[in-house]
Amino acid sequence: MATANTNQDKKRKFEEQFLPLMDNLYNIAMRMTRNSADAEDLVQETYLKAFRFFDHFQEGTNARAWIITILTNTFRTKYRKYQKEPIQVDFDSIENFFLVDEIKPQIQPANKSEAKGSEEITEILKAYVSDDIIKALENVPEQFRLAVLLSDVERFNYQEIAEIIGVSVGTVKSRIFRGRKILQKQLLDLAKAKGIVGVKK
Amino acid sequence: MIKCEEVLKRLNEYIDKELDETVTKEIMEHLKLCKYCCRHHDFEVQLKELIKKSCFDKKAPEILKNKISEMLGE
Ligand SMILES: [Zn+2]
Repeated sequence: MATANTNQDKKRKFEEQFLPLMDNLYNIAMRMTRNSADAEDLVQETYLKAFRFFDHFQEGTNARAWIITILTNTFRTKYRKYQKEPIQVDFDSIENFFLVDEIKPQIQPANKSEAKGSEEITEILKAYVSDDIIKALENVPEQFRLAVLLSDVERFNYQEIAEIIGVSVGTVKSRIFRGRKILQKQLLDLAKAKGIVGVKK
Repeated sequence: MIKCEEVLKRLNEYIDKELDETVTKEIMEHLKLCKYCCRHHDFEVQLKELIKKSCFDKKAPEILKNKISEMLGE
C-alpha cells in the first residue's frame, strides 16, 4: 500500500511539473525534426525518459531546462542519422552580413522625416509571415538552429544553453551569432525568390 | 566612444543581456546617438520577437497528450 501511494505521488509530482511544458517541447521538436510524426515520437520518448530519470531531477532546479536537455540528447542520438547533410556555410562571407542593410520596406512611411526607425523596421518585417520564418530557420544547420531556438524561443541565457547542449559558453555565443546570420541570409534569399520586400540593388 | 563596428559585433550579446554593466552602458549610450546602429538594434530585437512568435505557434496535439498520459499511467 505504501509503495502504491509513493508511486502515485511520484506520478502526480511529475505530471504537475512537466506536463505543462509539453507545448514548449512540441514546438522545439517540430523545428528540429521538421515534421509532426517525428516531433510527436521525440516528445513521447522525452517524457518516457524524463519519468524514468525523475529520481535524478533535483527539486527546485529548472524543470524546463532539465527536460529540454533530455529532448536535445534524445534528438541527437535518435534523429541525427536521418538528417540531411547540413548546408555548407562560408562563415567568412556572413561575418559582416546584415539583412537590414539589404532590404528596404515596400511601403514608405507617409511622412519620412517623422517616421521612427522602429516603425520602418516593423514595416520591413511585416513582409515575412510565420511560415517564412520557420522555413528559413529549418534551413539553418541543426547545431546553430538549436542554439537560436533555445535563445529566441525559450529565452534561456547563454550559460543555461551551454549546460543544455553540453558545450562551452563561448561555443554557444558563436553558434547563436552564426545561426542568426545564416537565418538572415536565408530570409534574404526568400525575399528575393518571392519578391516580398524591396531588395537593394 | 565605442565604434559602430564594435557595437554591431556585440549586438547579439547586448540584446541577449549577456554583457557586463560597463559595456552595456557604453553600447546604450552609443545607440542613443547613432541612428545607423540603432536601426540594426531595432531590427535584431524585432526579429527575435518574430522568431519566438513564429516558432511557438502550436499546441501539442491532443492525441500526443493522451499517449503520454497513458504511458505514465502504466
Ligand atoms: Zn554606430
